[in-house]
Amino acid sequence: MKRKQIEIAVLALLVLVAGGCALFTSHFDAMRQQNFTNLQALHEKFIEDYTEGAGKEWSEETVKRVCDAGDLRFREALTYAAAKDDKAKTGERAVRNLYDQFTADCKFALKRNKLFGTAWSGEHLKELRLNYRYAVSGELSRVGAPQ
Amino acid sequence: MSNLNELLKETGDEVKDAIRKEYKELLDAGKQESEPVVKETAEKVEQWLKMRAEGSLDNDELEELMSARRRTVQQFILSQEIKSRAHLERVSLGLLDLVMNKLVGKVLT
Repeated sequence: MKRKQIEIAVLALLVLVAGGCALFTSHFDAMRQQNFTNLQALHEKFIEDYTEGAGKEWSEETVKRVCDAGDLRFREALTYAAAKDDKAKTGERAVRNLYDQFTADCKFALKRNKLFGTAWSGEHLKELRLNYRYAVSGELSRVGAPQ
Repeated sequence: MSNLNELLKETGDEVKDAIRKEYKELLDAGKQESEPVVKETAEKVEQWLKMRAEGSLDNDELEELMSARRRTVQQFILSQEIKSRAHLERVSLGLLDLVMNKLVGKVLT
């Protein structure tokens, strides 16, 4: 009788876990975390390099070139994240959020056709750093993340 | 022209006052929130509106900061979702380990 009860309990748990798999998400991936770090550096440098200041110069051509190069790096990170994801797509969504922000920043720069203002830039960089921090924090919450 | 510019151009003084009042109530409510990201959002919005009023930001810049804030909050929400899903997996698999290793082992031996 006891053995039968144990077998039923194990079966119930297996069903629970199998059903719960849809509720889990992809495990920690070191490359995905590294990508967040690299993208953050690229993104912050873009904002800083094109903010008003001594010796800074606006060049539409240069900004377009920098934005194209950045776009490629984000695409690579997005493709990698999508390849490692499960149905929940949490990795892809995290990168997509940051990619959309970078794209918006490029559009903003080119629309205004001038360097970013220092007040705006200061506030925006604080926001960017928070966004990347949350992205990394999400990655480090995954099963298998280093303790 | 930004959406904010268009909105302010089209609305009369009474509507602007109503919008100001509603913003103030929302901001005050946000600042009382216990959830840090909500409180932080309310404080930032208030600060940026002040910067706009003082002229340190223009309407387009204000709008871009608001959009960036929206993305930051969405990233925060996603990070919480990841934490919950990972926790669920750890608990489920932990339960299985407990049953398989401790109870089944004892019954079969």
